[in-house]
Amino acid sequence: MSKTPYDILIRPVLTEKAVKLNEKEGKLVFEVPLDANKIEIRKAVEEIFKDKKVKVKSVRTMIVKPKPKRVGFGPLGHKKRWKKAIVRIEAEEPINIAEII
Amino acid sequence: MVVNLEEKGLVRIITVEEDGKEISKLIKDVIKEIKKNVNIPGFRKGHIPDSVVRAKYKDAIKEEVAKRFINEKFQKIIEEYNLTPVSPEISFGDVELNGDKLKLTLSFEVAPEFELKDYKGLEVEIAKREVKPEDIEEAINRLRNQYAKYEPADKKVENGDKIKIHYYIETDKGETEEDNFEVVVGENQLRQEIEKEILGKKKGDEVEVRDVPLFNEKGEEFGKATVKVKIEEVYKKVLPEFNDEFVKEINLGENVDEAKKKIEENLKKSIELAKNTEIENKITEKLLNENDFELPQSLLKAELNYLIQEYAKQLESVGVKPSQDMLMAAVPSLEEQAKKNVKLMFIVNKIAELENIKVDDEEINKEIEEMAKTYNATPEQVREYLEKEGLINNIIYGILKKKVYEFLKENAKVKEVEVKEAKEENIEETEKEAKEKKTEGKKKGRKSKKETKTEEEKSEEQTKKKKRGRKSKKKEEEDKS
Repeated sequence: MSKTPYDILIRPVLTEKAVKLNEKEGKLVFEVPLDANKIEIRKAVEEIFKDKKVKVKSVRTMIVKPKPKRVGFGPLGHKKRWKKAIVRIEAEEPINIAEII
Repeated sequence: MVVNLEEKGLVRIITVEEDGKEISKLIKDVIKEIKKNVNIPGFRKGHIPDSVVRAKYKDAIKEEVAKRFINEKFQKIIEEYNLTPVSPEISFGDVELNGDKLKLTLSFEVAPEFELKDYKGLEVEIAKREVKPEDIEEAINRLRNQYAKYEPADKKVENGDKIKIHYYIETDKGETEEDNFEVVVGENQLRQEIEKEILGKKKGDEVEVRDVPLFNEKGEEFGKATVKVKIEEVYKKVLPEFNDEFVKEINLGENVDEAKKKIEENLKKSIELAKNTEIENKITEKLLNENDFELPQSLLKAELNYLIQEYAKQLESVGVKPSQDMLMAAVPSLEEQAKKNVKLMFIVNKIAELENIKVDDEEINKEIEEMAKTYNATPEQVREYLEKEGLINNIIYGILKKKVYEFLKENAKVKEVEVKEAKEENIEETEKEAKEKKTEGKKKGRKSKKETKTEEEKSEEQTKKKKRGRKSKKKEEEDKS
Protein backbone atom coordinates (compact mmCIF):
# COMPACT_ATOMS: atom_id res chain seq x y z
CA MET A 1 0.00 0.00 0.00
CA SER A 2 1.36 3.29 -0.95
CA LYS A 3 1.64 6.01 1.62
CA THR A 4 -0.93 8.77 1.56
CA PRO A 5 0.21 12.34 2.10
CA TYR A 6 -1.27 12.18 5.58
CA ASP A 7 0.90 9.18 6.39
CA ILE A 8 3.93 11.26 5.66
CA LEU A 9 2.98 14.51 7.33
CA ILE A 10 2.13 13.22 10.80
CA ARG A 11 1.38 16.58 12.37
CA PRO A 12 2.41 20.21 12.10
CA VAL A 13 4.86 21.31 14.72
CA LEU A 14 3.25 24.08 16.67
CA THR A 15 5.86 25.79 18.76
CA GLU A 16 7.12 29.30 19.22
CA LYS A 17 10.00 28.60 16.93
CA ALA A 18 7.84 27.05 14.25
CA VAL A 19 5.42 29.98 14.31
CA LYS A 20 8.31 32.39 13.97
CA LEU A 21 9.62 30.51 10.92
CA ASN A 22 6.13 30.39 9.51
CA GLU A 23 5.50 34.08 9.86
CA LYS A 24 8.89 35.44 8.88
CA GLU A 25 10.19 33.02 6.29
CA GLY A 26 7.10 31.29 5.00
CA LYS A 27 8.18 27.88 6.17
CA LEU A 28 6.11 25.02 7.44
CA VAL A 29 7.36 22.54 9.99
CA PHE A 30 6.05 18.99 10.21
CA GLU A 31 6.74 15.83 12.07
CA VAL A 32 7.35 13.02 9.57
CA PRO A 33 8.13 9.30 9.82
CA LEU A 34 11.76 8.41 10.34
CA ASP A 35 11.92 6.68 6.99
CA ALA A 36 10.32 9.45 4.93
CA ASN A 37 12.57 11.04 2.37
CA LYS A 38 12.61 14.59 1.09
CA ILE A 39 10.97 13.77 -2.23
CA GLU A 40 8.05 12.11 -0.53
CA ILE A 41 7.65 15.06 1.79
CA ARG A 42 7.72 17.53 -1.09
CA LYS A 43 5.01 15.61 -2.91
CA ALA A 44 2.90 15.23 0.21
CA VAL A 45 2.95 18.96 0.98
CA GLU A 46 2.09 19.89 -2.58
CA GLU A 47 -0.74 17.36 -2.54
CA ILE A 48 -2.29 18.51 0.71
CA PHE A 49 -2.14 22.22 -0.15
CA LYS A 50 -2.92 21.79 -3.79
CA ASP A 51 -6.00 24.01 -3.65
CA LYS A 52 -3.75 26.82 -2.47
CA LYS A 53 -1.30 26.12 -5.28
CA VAL A 54 1.69 25.66 -3.06
CA LYS A 55 5.09 25.15 -4.65
CA VAL A 56 7.75 23.67 -2.43
CA LYS A 57 11.07 25.41 -2.79
CA SER A 58 13.12 23.24 -0.53
CA VAL A 59 12.82 20.54 2.11
CA ARG A 60 15.21 20.10 4.95
CA THR A 61 14.98 17.27 7.35
CA MET A 62 16.62 16.39 10.62
CA ILE A 63 16.35 13.73 13.22
CA VAL A 64 15.51 15.18 16.59
CA LYS A 65 17.58 13.61 19.32
CA PRO A 66 15.68 11.97 22.14
CA LYS A 67 15.56 13.99 25.32
CA PRO A 68 16.27 12.23 28.57
CA LYS A 69 13.17 11.87 30.62
CA ARG A 70 12.59 10.18 33.90
CA VAL A 71 9.13 8.97 34.73
CA GLY A 72 8.74 9.23 38.45
CA PHE A 73 11.56 7.31 40.14
CA GLY A 74 13.57 4.59 38.53
CA PRO A 75 16.06 4.52 35.68
CA LEU A 76 16.44 7.31 33.21
CA GLY A 77 14.38 6.78 30.08
CA HIS A 78 14.11 8.96 27.04
CA LYS A 79 11.65 10.32 24.55
CA LYS A 80 11.43 8.90 21.06
CA ARG A 81 13.65 10.25 18.39
CA TRP A 82 11.71 11.67 15.50
CA LYS A 83 12.21 13.27 12.16
CA LYS A 84 11.40 16.90 11.61
CA ALA A 85 11.00 18.41 8.18
CA ILE A 86 11.21 22.11 7.51
CA VAL A 87 9.56 22.89 4.20
CA ARG A 88 10.08 26.18 2.47
CA ILE A 89 7.14 27.01 0.31
CA GLU A 90 5.92 29.56 -2.09
CA ALA A 91 2.21 30.20 -2.06
CA GLU A 92 -0.20 32.81 -3.28
CA GLU A 93 -1.23 33.65 0.22
CA PRO A 94 0.60 32.78 3.40
CA ILE A 95 -0.49 29.65 5.18
CA ASN A 96 -1.03 30.09 8.90
CA ILE A 97 0.55 27.15 10.59
CA ALA A 98 -1.92 27.34 13.47
CA GLU A 99 -4.84 26.80 11.15
CA ILE A 100 -3.75 23.51 9.63
CA ILE A 101 -4.49 20.40 11.49
CA MET B 1 -23.09 49.37 10.90
CA VAL B 2 -25.83 47.65 8.98
CA VAL B 3 -28.94 46.79 10.94
CA ASN B 4 -31.83 44.80 9.65
CA LEU B 5 -35.08 44.45 11.55
CA GLU B 6 -37.56 41.65 11.10
CA GLU B 7 -40.91 41.28 12.85
CA LYS B 8 -42.68 38.07 13.63
CA GLY B 9 -45.59 38.69 15.94
CA LEU B 10 -44.02 39.96 19.09
CA VAL B 11 -40.63 38.58 18.20
CA ARG B 12 -38.12 40.99 16.78
CA ILE B 13 -35.16 39.62 14.93
CA ILE B 14 -32.30 41.98 14.40
CA THR B 15 -29.39 41.28 12.12
CA VAL B 16 -26.35 43.41 12.74
CA GLU B 17 -23.30 43.68 10.54
CA GLU B 18 -20.25 45.64 11.47
CA ASP B 19 -16.65 45.68 10.40
CA GLY B 20 -13.57 47.82 10.69
CA LYS B 21 -11.56 49.21 13.50
CA GLU B 22 -14.04 48.73 16.26
CA ILE B 23 -14.30 45.01 15.72
CA SER B 24 -10.58 44.46 15.31
CA LYS B 25 -10.00 46.32 18.53
CA LEU B 26 -12.51 44.13 20.30
CA ILE B 27 -10.83 41.03 18.90
CA LYS B 28 -7.45 42.24 20.06
CA ASP B 29 -8.73 42.88 23.55
CA VAL B 30 -10.26 39.47 23.77
CA ILE B 31 -7.13 37.75 22.50
CA LYS B 32 -5.05 39.65 24.99
CA GLU B 33 -7.17 38.41 27.82
CA ILE B 34 -7.13 34.84 26.61
CA LYS B 35 -3.39 34.96 26.18
CA LYS B 36 -2.87 35.78 29.79
CA ASN B 37 -4.65 32.71 30.99
CA VAL B 38 -4.01 29.87 28.58
CA ASN B 39 -1.20 27.41 28.32
CA ILE B 40 -0.49 25.82 24.97
CA PRO B 41 2.28 23.19 24.79
CA GLY B 42 5.16 24.41 22.68
CA PHE B 43 4.84 27.98 23.90
CA ARG B 44 5.94 29.79 26.97
CA LYS B 45 3.15 31.37 28.95
CA GLY B 46 2.33 34.80 27.64
CA HIS B 47 4.44 34.32 24.52
CA ILE B 48 1.78 32.76 22.37
CA PRO B 49 1.43 34.59 19.06
CA ASP B 50 -1.96 36.17 18.34
CA SER B 51 -2.40 34.08 15.23
CA VAL B 52 -2.14 30.87 17.21
CA VAL B 53 -4.57 32.04 19.87
CA ARG B 54 -6.97 33.15 17.23
CA ALA B 55 -6.85 29.85 15.43
CA LYS B 56 -7.14 27.76 18.55
CA TYR B 57 -9.87 29.68 20.30
CA LYS B 58 -11.92 30.69 17.31
CA ASP B 59 -15.32 29.98 18.80
CA ALA B 60 -14.63 31.46 22.20
CA ILE B 61 -13.34 34.65 20.63
CA LYS B 62 -16.33 34.86 18.34
CA GLU B 63 -18.76 34.59 21.18
CA GLU B 64 -16.94 36.96 23.45
CA VAL B 65 -16.59 39.58 20.74
CA ALA B 66 -20.27 39.31 19.92
CA LYS B 67 -21.22 39.64 23.55
CA ARG B 68 -19.09 42.71 24.06
CA PHE B 69 -20.30 44.26 20.88
CA ILE B 70 -23.90 43.80 21.93
CA ASN B 71 -23.25 45.15 25.38
CA GLU B 72 -21.89 48.26 23.80
CA LYS B 73 -24.36 48.75 21.00
CA PHE B 74 -27.59 47.16 22.09
CA GLN B 75 -28.92 50.22 23.87
CA LYS B 76 -28.25 52.32 20.84
CA ILE B 77 -29.93 49.93 18.47
CA ILE B 78 -33.12 49.57 20.43
CA GLU B 79 -33.30 53.29 20.93
CA GLU B 80 -32.90 53.87 17.26
CA TYR B 81 -35.73 51.54 16.43
CA ASN B 82 -37.76 52.44 19.50
CA LEU B 83 -38.06 48.92 20.84
CA THR B 84 -38.58 47.80 24.40
CA PRO B 85 -37.54 44.23 24.93
CA VAL B 86 -39.46 42.41 27.63
CA SER B 87 -37.84 39.02 27.36
CA PRO B 88 -35.77 38.13 30.38
CA GLU B 89 -33.01 37.04 28.07
CA ILE B 90 -31.90 38.13 24.67
CA SER B 91 -30.96 35.16 22.58
CA PHE B 92 -28.11 35.21 20.13
CA GLY B 93 -28.67 33.74 16.78
CA ASP B 94 -25.74 32.61 14.69
CA VAL B 95 -22.63 34.72 14.95
CA GLU B 96 -20.17 35.02 12.10
CA LEU B 97 -16.74 36.48 12.48
CA ASN B 98 -14.58 36.76 9.40
CA GLY B 99 -11.44 38.79 9.76
CA ASP B 100 -12.78 41.93 11.31
CA LYS B 101 -16.27 41.52 9.97
CA LEU B 102 -18.90 40.61 12.50
CA LYS B 103 -22.39 39.50 11.65
CA LEU B 104 -24.92 38.38 14.19
CA THR B 105 -28.63 38.02 14.75
CA LEU B 106 -30.50 38.80 17.91
CA SER B 107 -34.00 37.90 18.81
CA PHE B 108 -36.18 39.05 21.63
CA GLU B 109 -39.78 39.85 22.28
CA VAL B 110 -41.32 43.24 22.78
CA ALA B 111 -44.28 44.28 24.84
CA PRO B 112 -47.55 43.81 23.02
CA GLU B 113 -49.30 46.95 21.95
CA PHE B 114 -52.94 47.05 22.71
CA GLU B 115 -55.78 49.42 23.20
CA LEU B 116 -56.95 49.35 26.74
CA LYS B 117 -60.68 48.92 27.07
CA ASP B 118 -62.52 51.15 29.46
CA TYR B 119 -61.11 50.67 32.89
CA LYS B 120 -62.73 53.62 34.61
CA GLY B 121 -66.12 53.03 36.06
CA LEU B 122 -65.94 49.28 35.89
CA GLU B 123 -69.20 47.84 37.01
CA VAL B 124 -68.67 45.29 39.66
CA GLU B 125 -71.24 43.15 41.33
CA ILE B 126 -70.46 41.70 44.68
CA ALA B 127 -72.37 39.71 47.20
CA LYS B 128 -74.11 41.77 49.82
CA ARG B 129 -72.74 41.21 53.23
CA GLU B 130 -73.68 42.76 56.51
CA VAL B 131 -73.43 42.00 60.15
CA LYS B 132 -76.58 40.49 61.55
CA PRO B 133 -77.43 39.95 65.22
CA GLU B 134 -77.17 36.20 64.69
CA ASP B 135 -73.64 36.58 63.53
CA ILE B 136 -72.66 38.33 66.72
CA GLU B 137 -74.43 35.66 68.73
CA GLU B 138 -72.48 33.04 66.88
CA ALA B 139 -69.19 34.77 67.42
CA ILE B 140 -69.92 34.90 71.12
CA ASN B 141 -70.73 31.20 71.19
CA ARG B 142 -67.52 30.43 69.46
CA LEU B 143 -65.61 32.43 72.01
CA ARG B 144 -67.36 30.59 74.81
CA ASN B 145 -66.46 27.26 73.28
CA GLN B 146 -62.89 28.37 72.95
CA TYR B 147 -62.66 29.18 76.63
CA ALA B 148 -64.69 26.22 77.83
CA LYS B 149 -63.73 24.48 81.05
CA TYR B 150 -64.27 20.89 82.07
CA GLU B 151 -65.85 20.14 85.42
CA PRO B 152 -66.34 16.75 87.04
CA ALA B 153 -69.93 15.64 86.73
CA ASP B 154 -72.01 12.64 87.56
CA LYS B 155 -73.48 11.84 84.19
CA LYS B 156 -73.36 9.51 81.26
CA VAL B 157 -70.54 9.88 78.80
CA GLU B 158 -71.50 11.84 75.72
CA ASN B 159 -69.67 13.19 72.78
CA GLY B 160 -67.71 16.27 73.76
CA ASP B 161 -67.16 15.15 77.32
CA LYS B 162 -63.75 14.70 78.74
CA ILE B 163 -63.06 11.47 80.61
CA LYS B 164 -60.25 10.19 82.73
CA ILE B 165 -59.65 6.53 82.07
CA HIS B 166 -57.49 3.74 83.27
CA TYR B 167 -56.79 1.16 80.64
CA TYR B 168 -55.37 -2.32 80.69
CA ILE B 169 -54.35 -4.06 77.50
CA GLU B 170 -53.56 -7.69 77.05
CA THR B 171 -52.44 -8.85 73.63
CA ASP B 172 -52.84 -12.32 72.27
CA LYS B 173 -49.14 -12.79 72.79
CA GLY B 174 -49.60 -12.26 76.50
CA GLU B 175 -48.06 -8.83 76.75
CA THR B 176 -49.80 -6.42 79.07
CA GLU B 177 -49.83 -2.72 79.56
CA GLU B 178 -51.76 -0.24 81.66
CA ASP B 179 -51.92 3.49 82.13
CA ASN B 180 -54.08 6.51 82.94
CA PHE B 181 -54.98 9.39 80.73
CA GLU B 182 -57.56 12.01 80.00
CA VAL B 183 -59.30 12.23 76.71
CA VAL B 184 -62.12 14.12 75.03
CA VAL B 185 -64.71 11.75 73.63
CA GLY B 186 -65.83 12.13 70.06
CA GLU B 187 -62.71 13.80 68.69
CA ASN B 188 -61.12 10.74 67.20
CA GLN B 189 -58.55 10.47 69.94
CA LEU B 190 -59.53 6.96 70.91
CA ARG B 191 -60.00 3.87 68.84
CA GLN B 192 -63.50 3.83 67.41
CA GLU B 193 -64.31 0.41 68.80
CA ILE B 194 -63.54 1.54 72.30
CA GLU B 195 -65.24 4.88 71.99
CA LYS B 196 -68.45 3.20 70.92
CA GLU B 197 -68.49 1.11 74.07
CA ILE B 198 -67.71 3.99 76.35
CA LEU B 199 -70.56 6.19 75.17
CA GLY B 200 -73.42 6.12 77.64
CA LYS B 201 -71.39 4.69 80.51
CA LYS B 202 -70.94 6.36 83.86
CA LYS B 203 -68.16 7.09 86.29
CA GLY B 204 -66.79 3.87 87.71
CA ASP B 205 -68.05 1.69 84.87
CA GLU B 206 -65.72 -0.77 83.23
CA VAL B 207 -65.70 -1.67 79.60
CA GLU B 208 -64.07 -4.63 77.98
CA VAL B 209 -63.45 -4.82 74.27
CA ARG B 210 -62.18 -8.03 72.80
CA ASP B 211 -60.24 -8.68 69.64
CA VAL B 212 -59.12 -5.17 68.93
CA PRO B 213 -56.84 -5.45 65.91
CA LEU B 214 -53.38 -4.02 66.37
CA PHE B 215 -51.57 -2.26 63.59
CA ASN B 216 -47.93 -1.48 63.16
CA GLU B 217 -46.53 1.72 61.69
CA LYS B 218 -47.27 0.67 58.13
CA GLY B 219 -50.88 -0.11 58.92
CA GLU B 220 -50.49 -3.86 58.77
CA GLU B 221 -52.33 -5.91 61.27
CA PHE B 222 -50.04 -7.86 63.53
CA GLY B 223 -52.22 -9.12 66.30
CA LYS B 224 -55.26 -8.68 68.46
CA ALA B 225 -55.68 -7.48 71.98
CA THR B 226 -58.25 -7.26 74.71
CA VAL B 227 -58.67 -3.79 76.12
CA LYS B 228 -60.23 -3.09 79.48
CA VAL B 229 -61.12 0.48 80.20
CA LYS B 230 -62.25 1.85 83.53
CA ILE B 231 -63.82 5.25 83.55
CA GLU B 232 -62.44 7.03 86.55
CA GLU B 233 -63.99 10.42 86.08
CA VAL B 234 -66.36 12.13 83.72
CA TYR B 235 -65.99 15.82 83.06
CA LYS B 236 -68.71 17.95 81.65
CA LYS B 237 -67.90 20.72 79.28
CA VAL B 238 -68.93 23.99 80.89
CA LEU B 239 -69.27 27.01 78.73
CA PRO B 240 -68.43 30.22 80.52
CA GLU B 241 -71.21 32.75 80.94
CA PHE B 242 -70.93 35.67 78.63
CA ASN B 243 -70.75 38.29 81.35
CA ASP B 244 -68.59 41.20 82.36
CA GLU B 245 -66.04 39.00 84.07
CA PHE B 246 -65.57 36.71 81.14
CA VAL B 247 -65.26 39.68 78.85
CA LYS B 248 -62.59 41.19 81.04
CA GLU B 249 -60.69 37.94 81.19
CA ILE B 250 -60.34 37.67 77.45
CA ASN B 251 -59.55 41.35 77.04
CA LEU B 252 -62.62 42.46 75.17
CA GLY B 253 -63.36 45.57 77.16
CA GLU B 254 -64.99 46.35 80.49
CA ASN B 255 -68.49 45.00 80.08
CA VAL B 256 -70.72 42.95 77.86
CA ASP B 257 -71.97 45.84 75.76
CA GLU B 258 -68.50 46.99 75.02
CA ALA B 259 -67.46 43.48 74.06
CA LYS B 260 -70.43 43.11 71.78
CA LYS B 261 -69.54 46.30 70.08
CA LYS B 262 -66.01 45.11 69.62
CA ILE B 263 -67.12 41.83 68.18
CA GLU B 264 -69.43 43.64 65.83
CA GLU B 265 -66.62 45.90 64.76
CA ASN B 266 -64.36 42.95 64.12
CA LEU B 267 -67.02 41.26 62.06
CA LYS B 268 -67.57 44.44 60.13
CA LYS B 269 -63.88 44.74 59.50
CA SER B 270 -63.58 41.23 58.20
CA ILE B 271 -66.61 41.78 56.01
CA GLU B 272 -65.05 44.97 54.72
CA LEU B 273 -61.90 43.06 53.93
CA ALA B 274 -63.82 40.33 52.20
CA LYS B 275 -65.66 42.92 50.16
CA ASN B 276 -62.42 44.48 49.18
CA THR B 277 -60.92 41.24 48.02
CA GLU B 278 -64.05 40.41 46.14
CA ILE B 279 -64.02 43.75 44.39
CA GLU B 280 -60.39 43.30 43.52
CA ASN B 281 -60.98 39.84 42.22
CA LYS B 282 -63.91 40.98 40.13
CA ILE B 283 -61.94 43.88 38.73
CA THR B 284 -59.12 41.55 37.82
CA GLU B 285 -61.53 39.22 36.13
CA LYS B 286 -63.09 42.04 34.15
CA LEU B 287 -59.78 43.43 33.04
CA LEU B 288 -58.56 40.03 31.98
CA ASN B 289 -61.73 39.23 30.12
CA GLU B 290 -62.14 42.50 28.30
CA ASN B 291 -58.61 42.92 27.13
CA ASP B 292 -57.19 40.42 24.76
CA PHE B 293 -53.77 40.57 23.17
CA GLU B 294 -50.83 38.41 22.35
CA LEU B 295 -48.42 37.63 25.15
CA PRO B 296 -44.68 37.24 24.78
CA GLN B 297 -43.80 33.57 25.02
CA SER B 298 -40.53 34.10 26.80
CA LEU B 299 -42.19 35.96 29.65
CA LEU B 300 -44.83 33.28 29.95
CA LYS B 301 -42.15 30.68 30.17
CA ALA B 302 -40.30 32.57 32.85
CA GLU B 303 -43.47 33.06 34.85
CA LEU B 304 -44.40 29.43 34.48
CA ASN B 305 -40.98 28.36 35.68
CA TYR B 306 -41.34 30.63 38.65
CA LEU B 307 -44.74 29.20 39.50
CA ILE B 308 -43.51 25.64 39.17
CA GLN B 309 -40.64 26.40 41.48
CA GLU B 310 -42.96 27.96 44.00
CA TYR B 311 -45.23 24.97 43.76
CA ALA B 312 -42.36 22.59 44.36
CA LYS B 313 -41.25 24.63 47.35
CA GLN B 314 -44.75 24.55 48.68
CA LEU B 315 -44.89 20.79 48.40
CA GLU B 316 -41.54 20.45 50.07
CA SER B 317 -42.53 22.59 53.00
CA VAL B 318 -45.50 20.33 53.60
CA GLY B 319 -43.13 17.42 53.62
CA VAL B 320 -43.88 15.99 50.22
CA LYS B 321 -40.98 15.47 47.93
CA PRO B 322 -42.12 16.80 44.57
CA SER B 323 -41.71 14.28 41.82
CA GLN B 324 -41.49 15.05 38.16
CA ASP B 325 -44.93 13.59 37.53
CA MET B 326 -46.58 15.68 40.19
CA LEU B 327 -45.10 18.85 38.79
CA MET B 328 -46.05 17.91 35.27
CA ALA B 329 -49.61 17.32 36.38
CA ALA B 330 -49.77 20.81 37.80
CA VAL B 331 -48.40 22.47 34.70
CA PRO B 332 -51.68 23.11 32.86
CA SER B 333 -53.27 24.98 35.74
CA LEU B 334 -50.07 26.83 36.47
CA GLU B 335 -49.81 27.75 32.83
CA GLU B 336 -53.23 29.31 33.01
CA GLN B 337 -52.15 31.23 36.08
CA ALA B 338 -48.96 32.35 34.38
CA LYS B 339 -50.96 33.68 31.45
CA LYS B 340 -53.18 35.65 33.78
CA ASN B 341 -50.26 37.03 35.73
CA VAL B 342 -48.41 38.20 32.66
CA LYS B 343 -51.50 39.68 31.09
CA LEU B 344 -52.39 41.50 34.25
CA MET B 345 -48.89 42.87 34.46
CA PHE B 346 -49.21 44.50 31.07
CA ILE B 347 -52.62 45.89 31.87
CA VAL B 348 -51.50 47.30 35.19
CA ASN B 349 -48.47 48.89 33.61
CA LYS B 350 -50.58 50.39 30.88
CA ILE B 351 -53.07 51.87 33.29
CA ALA B 352 -50.25 53.23 35.41
CA GLU B 353 -48.79 54.85 32.35
CA LEU B 354 -52.07 56.37 31.25
CA GLU B 355 -53.00 57.62 34.68
CA ASN B 356 -49.51 58.72 35.55
CA ILE B 357 -49.30 56.50 38.59
CA LYS B 358 -45.73 56.15 39.68
CA VAL B 359 -43.77 54.55 42.43
CA ASP B 360 -41.16 56.73 44.07
CA ASP B 361 -38.10 55.74 46.04
CA GLU B 362 -39.69 56.59 49.33
CA GLU B 363 -42.39 54.01 48.84
CA ILE B 364 -39.88 51.39 47.88
CA ASN B 365 -37.86 52.15 50.97
CA LYS B 366 -40.94 51.87 53.11
CA GLU B 367 -41.78 48.52 51.61
CA ILE B 368 -38.27 47.28 52.16
CA GLU B 369 -38.33 48.41 55.76
CA GLU B 370 -41.51 46.52 56.33
CA MET B 371 -40.06 43.42 54.78
CA ALA B 372 -37.00 43.82 56.97
CA LYS B 373 -39.24 43.78 60.01
CA THR B 374 -40.94 40.56 59.04
CA TYR B 375 -37.70 38.83 58.18
CA ASN B 376 -35.80 40.20 61.16
CA ALA B 377 -33.12 41.83 59.09
CA THR B 378 -31.88 45.33 58.52
CA PRO B 379 -33.31 47.24 55.56
CA GLU B 380 -29.86 47.31 54.01
CA GLN B 381 -29.62 43.53 54.08
CA VAL B 382 -33.00 43.15 52.49
CA ARG B 383 -32.16 45.67 49.83
CA GLU B 384 -28.89 43.92 49.05
CA TYR B 385 -30.63 40.59 48.79
CA LEU B 386 -33.32 41.96 46.52
CA GLU B 387 -30.82 43.59 44.25
CA LYS B 388 -28.74 40.45 44.09
CA GLU B 389 -31.71 38.32 43.16
CA GLY B 390 -33.12 40.93 40.83
CA LEU B 391 -36.35 41.04 42.78
CA ILE B 392 -36.43 44.76 43.26
CA ASN B 393 -38.54 45.11 40.15
CA ASN B 394 -41.08 42.72 41.62
CA ILE B 395 -41.37 44.97 44.64
CA ILE B 396 -41.88 48.01 42.49
CA TYR B 397 -44.49 46.18 40.50
CA GLY B 398 -46.23 45.10 43.69
CA ILE B 399 -46.53 48.68 44.90
CA LEU B 400 -47.62 49.87 41.50
CA LYS B 401 -50.28 47.20 41.32
CA LYS B 402 -51.63 48.21 44.67
CA LYS B 403 -51.82 51.82 43.64
CA VAL B 404 -53.48 51.01 40.35
CA TYR B 405 -56.05 48.90 42.12
CA GLU B 406 -56.79 51.70 44.52
CA PHE B 407 -57.36 53.93 41.57
CA LEU B 408 -59.58 51.38 39.88
CA LYS B 409 -61.60 50.84 43.00
CA GLU B 410 -62.19 54.53 43.39
CA ASN B 411 -63.45 54.67 39.85
CA ALA B 412 -65.44 51.48 39.88
CA LYS B 413 -69.17 51.26 40.30
CA VAL B 414 -69.77 48.71 42.95
CA LYS B 415 -73.16 47.14 43.13
CA GLU B 416 -74.15 44.97 45.99
CA VAL B 417 -76.34 42.08 45.11
CA GLU B 418 -78.28 39.95 47.53
CA VAL B 419 -76.99 36.43 47.46
CA LYS B 420 -79.25 33.71 48.69
CA GLU B 421 -76.52 31.40 49.83
CA ALA B 422 -76.41 30.26 53.40
CA LYS B 423 -75.04 33.03 55.49
CA GLU B 424 -72.87 30.78 57.61
CA GLU B 425 -70.70 29.76 54.78
CA ASN B 426 -70.13 33.34 53.85
CA ILE B 427 -68.99 34.28 57.27
CA GLU B 428 -66.61 31.43 57.53
CA GLU B 429 -65.16 32.43 54.26
CA THR B 430 -64.77 36.01 55.28
CA GLU B 431 -63.01 35.03 58.43
CA LYS B 432 -60.63 32.84 56.60
CA GLU B 433 -59.86 35.56 54.17
CA ALA B 434 -59.45 38.06 56.93
CA LYS B 435 -57.05 35.78 58.71
CA GLU B 436 -55.06 35.36 55.59
CA LYS B 437 -54.98 39.07 55.09
CA LYS B 438 -53.78 39.71 58.59
CA THR B 439 -50.93 37.28 58.39
CA GLU B 440 -50.05 38.72 55.10
CA GLY B 441 -49.35 42.00 56.72
CA LYS B 442 -52.03 43.45 54.48
CA LYS B 443 -49.99 43.63 51.32
CA LYS B 444 -47.23 41.88 49.48
CA GLY B 445 -47.68 39.77 46.43
CA ARG B 446 -48.14 36.14 45.90
CA LYS B 447 -45.14 35.20 47.98
CA SER B 448 -46.51 35.78 51.42
CA LYS B 449 -49.88 34.48 50.41
CA LYS B 450 -48.28 31.23 49.61
CA GLU B 451 -46.40 31.22 52.84
CA THR B 452 -49.53 31.55 54.89
CA LYS B 453 -51.11 28.84 52.90
CA THR B 454 -48.27 26.50 53.55
CA GLU B 455 -48.37 27.34 57.20
CA GLU B 456 -51.98 26.38 57.36
CA GLU B 457 -51.25 23.20 55.57
CA LYS B 458 -48.42 22.53 57.94
CA SER B 459 -50.53 22.88 61.03
CA GLU B 460 -53.11 20.64 59.45
CA GLU B 461 -50.43 18.10 58.85
CA GLN B 462 -49.33 18.34 62.43
CA THR B 463 -52.74 17.74 63.85
CA LYS B 464 -53.09 14.80 61.58
CA LYS B 465 -49.84 13.45 62.85
CA LYS B 466 -50.92 13.96 66.41
CA LYS B 467 -54.04 12.01 65.83
CA ARG B 468 -52.15 9.28 64.24
CA GLY B 469 -49.68 9.40 67.05
CA ARG B 470 -52.35 8.94 69.65
CA LYS B 471 -53.84 6.06 67.84
CA SER B 472 -50.64 4.27 67.29
CA LYS B 473 -49.20 5.12 70.67
CA LYS B 474 -50.39 1.96 72.27
CA LYS B 475 -49.11 -0.18 69.49
CA GLU B 476 -45.82 1.56 69.36
CA GLU B 477 -45.24 0.94 72.99
CA GLU B 478 -46.10 -2.63 72.51
CA ASP B 479 -43.73 -2.84 69.64
CA LYS B 480 -40.97 -1.64 71.86
CA SER B 481 -41.65 -4.04 74.68
